[in-house]
This record gives sequence, structure tokens and C-alpha cells, in this order.
Amino acid sequence: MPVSHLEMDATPHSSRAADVSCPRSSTGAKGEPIIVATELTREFRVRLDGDSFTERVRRFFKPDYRIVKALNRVSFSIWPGEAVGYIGLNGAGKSTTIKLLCGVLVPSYGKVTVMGLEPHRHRTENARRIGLMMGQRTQLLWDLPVKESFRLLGKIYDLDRNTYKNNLERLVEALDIGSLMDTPARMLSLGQKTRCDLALTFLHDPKIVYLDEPTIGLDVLARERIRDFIRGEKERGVTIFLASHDLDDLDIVTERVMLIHRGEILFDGPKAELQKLAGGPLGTLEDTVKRFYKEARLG
Amino acid sequence: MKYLLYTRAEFLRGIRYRASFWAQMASGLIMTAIQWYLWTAVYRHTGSIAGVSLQEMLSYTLMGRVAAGFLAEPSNLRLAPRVRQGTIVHDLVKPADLHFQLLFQNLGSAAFRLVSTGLPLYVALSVMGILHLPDARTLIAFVISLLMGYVAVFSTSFVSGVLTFYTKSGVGVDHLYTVVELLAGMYVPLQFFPGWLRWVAENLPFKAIHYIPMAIWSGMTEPGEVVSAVLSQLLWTGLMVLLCRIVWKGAIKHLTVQGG
Repeated sequence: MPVSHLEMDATPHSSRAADVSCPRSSTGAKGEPIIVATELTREFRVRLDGDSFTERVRRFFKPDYRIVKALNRVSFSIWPGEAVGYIGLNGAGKSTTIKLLCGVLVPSYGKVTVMGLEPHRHRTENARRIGLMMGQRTQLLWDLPVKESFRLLGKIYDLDRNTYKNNLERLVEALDIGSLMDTPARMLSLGQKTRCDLALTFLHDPKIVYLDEPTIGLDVLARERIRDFIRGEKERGVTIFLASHDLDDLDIVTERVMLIHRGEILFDGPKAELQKLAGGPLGTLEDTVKRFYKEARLG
Repeated sequence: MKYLLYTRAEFLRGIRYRASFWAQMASGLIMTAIQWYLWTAVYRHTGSIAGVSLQEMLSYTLMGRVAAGFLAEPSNLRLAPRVRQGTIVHDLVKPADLHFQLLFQNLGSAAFRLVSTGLPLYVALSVMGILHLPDARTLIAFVISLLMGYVAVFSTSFVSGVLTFYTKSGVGVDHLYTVVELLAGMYVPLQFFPGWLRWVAENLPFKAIHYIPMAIWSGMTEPGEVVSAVLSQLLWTGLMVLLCRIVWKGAIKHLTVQGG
């Protein structure tokens, strides 16, 4: 195993889940896990540029590559109904993980199953049961009123009329976007856009929702509103996987945190445990990562 | 048919922009007038060129203007920007196929251009006595042929759009497209080509884009040959769609394995 877990006691299942015959969640969730990642590894081939002119010319004809490990033998299990915070600095491997879980990337080594399926082999089937929201990239139809985006996705996910109507009603109320439905997406503020994007992500009753930096660039009030909404969805039984580089986003997930750094998981366990290990309230993410990184190297 | 929602959305997007609506209409009218002056001048001292009469020629080119929305190159099929901006991830985690999505989406803008420019132009040209409605059999064959022409032009652009993902730039592809337009018969019908070029054009799939539907409409295709023309177009179009599927599956594989 890589140098990942500094305190195995504090992280009862963590990356060893795959080795243990009957894994248990650190937050007391029961039953079969909904996501199982085993030694999940993803490498990228980066083409080298070169320092000098001649070197660059030479590499034009005969390229040299360097292998970068974006994710290095990461193992974890997530249970139905859990809300997991996936925290790491920029470039730690958060988005790569989400892409692997969505089936948009094929693992280099290792394996991941989501609801019993390997996502990259059953991408479309998997797509029906998951939701993905990327805080940086809206999926709203840019030039059309917001309601058209909902109508389109309702059809794409083959929702019947009643399910569509009920889900839309619930989401519109929970996120307070009723007054935005007739506005073209390009005229919305960032906060309004984020709320609409969130509602779109949950429209088809996904079992798991991946949120990649959902609150990026939002003010405190907007963030609070989103936090309340996501907690509500968790209460309804949706499994939440929230990736962020912002420790404040840990407010959104109340229980379990995974800390990822340079493609390896440094910590996986209850949020309170992380705070305790970090010695009181968490400072900045950089400080926390530094502490854990150092301890992991020493341990 | 859930993909028709994409057609609808793109049509609605078109009518939201009134300025662009009028600009399209104006440019359509001007282009049509130029074509009319050009060909009447060319035919001033002759009744027929390469076996094509002035009436057939005007019918061929001006109907091409009316149906331009269906037969012009769609501009949003480049894969490279989607990969660069990361929106391809959204496209891949939907239970919908991006290839079919784009096929139906662009049909929406074709329909919009038909309503905004094509139909008014057609009415004007009919009133002026330049375009005449052909008999029912030819008309049906033309509509079928035009829709296949749309699939053919879409497929050509789609394949080159996917290739931008490998070349990382669309510049070379753009230059090549002028050749495609020429071989499709978009500037002049294939009869006007020198023998060798005509042979090339006859044996390439691009004639399915423009030449076959317009030759049917204008009567250049003899009534007895209409069915075989439509069947050969069907064959070419089918092969092009197949090629799109292969290229698209390959691109998905490349994306998921190499990581963009």
C-alpha cells in the first residue's frame, strides 16, 4: 500500500476496505457499498517540450513522454446515503476521481464499481443513475429560458410526466428558482446559475450525485442556501460526493471526509476526527494538507 | 423521439435573435440576386451549356439558396473546443449520444433558416415566375433527397469536426471544405466540370450533399433516373453515417483511455 493512512484506527475502513471481507463505513452506514474503488490508478502521458531550440525540433520528430500519476492506488468504499467530502488542493486528483467514477475516464490500473457496474464499460447505463455538477461549467442552454433546459433534460432522462412535474416542483421550491424559469441562462447571476444547475443535476432522481466545486465563487448566503439544499437531498437518501479545494465546503457534508494530495488519500474518516487530528479547528486547507502530508511521510 | 427536443431548442434559439433573423434574410436575398444576374448574363447568347438550359440552371442554383439551411456546413461540430473547455464531460454523462444530439440540433437551425430565409425567398421567386413547383412525384423525391443531403453534409462536417480533436485545430479542415463544396456541386452542377473532375465527383459521396437533390428539383435528372439517383444517395449517406459512428466511437475511446 502507498503511504496513505497515517492513523488506521481513526479510519476504520478507508483504503483497506477492499482487503477486508466485510467492510464497514466510518460513519456507521450499513449494507453493501454503492461505490467501491480498489487500487484505483490513473496515469496521463505528458509530452515533453524541451529547453533548447534543437531539443524541441528533435522532439517534434521523436516525442518524449513523461508519465504522470494523477491518482495512485486509491481505495475507498462509499455507502448509500453517505455524504462524503473529497478535499484536496488544485491538481490533487479530485476531478480525475470524479471522471473515473462517471466512466468518462478508464482506469490505468485498479478497478471501480458504481452500483455493481464498471462505469466506463456501462457509461450510458451508469449515466441514468447519477448526477454530475461542475461548478465551473454550466449545463444550462445558454440562450434559452431556464425552463427549456429542464424540459430537455426531462426528455433525455425519459421521465414520465408526473415524475417530471413533481421533481421540478420540489426543486424549484427548495432552490427558490421559480422566478428565474423564464429568464435566458446567459442573463442569470452566478448564484442563480448555480442554483439552476443544481436543480438540473437532481431532476432525474439520481442515486449518486457528484459535485465538483459547486460553490466556487459564491458568497456566504448563497453557499448557505446550497448547503441546506444538499443536506435536504441527503435526507432523501441521495448519496453525495462533493469535491472541493475549499474547507468551508465541509459545512455542506456533515460526516465523512477524504483528504487527497498528489493522487493519494491522506485521510479518510469522520470530519470530527480530521479536526481532532489537525489539532482543533481546521486552519486553511494548505496548513491541514501540509500537516497530514508530513505526518504521513514520517509515519 | 427525445432527440427532437434538441431540434426544438435550436429552432427556439434561432428565433430569439431578431437582428440575426433580418441579417440572414437580407444576405439570402442579395446572394440570390447575384446568382440570378450571373446566370442570365452567362446564358445571354446561348440556349444551353453542357446540356443545361437557363431555366434548369436558375432552378438548380436558386433552389440551392432556398434550401441553404439544410445544405450549408454546420459550424458547431468541432470536438476540440468541447474537449478543451471540458464540456465534453457533460456530453458523455448523459443518456444521450452526442452524435445524434448534434444531428438533430442542427436540423433545428436548418428548419429556422428555412422559415426565416428559405420560404420567403421561395415565395418571391415563384411570384416572379423563376421557380416552378414540379410534379408531385418529383417533389416527394426532392424532399426525401434534401433530407438525405442534410444528413450527408452533417456527416461530412461531423467527421472533420471529430478530426479537429486529433489535429487540435480546425484550420486545415476549413480549407479542405471548399473542395468538398465544389465536389458537392454547390457552385455549379457536375456537368460543368471537365471530364476527369466530373468522374472524380461522380464517384465520391459529396454529390449526395447538393447535386443529387438539386438535379432532381431542376429536372436535370431524367424522370426515369430519379429513383436510382435517390437510391445511390441513400447508399452514400448510409455509409457516411456509418463512418460517423466509427469515428465517434474511436474518439470516445481515445478520450476515455488517453484522457483528452
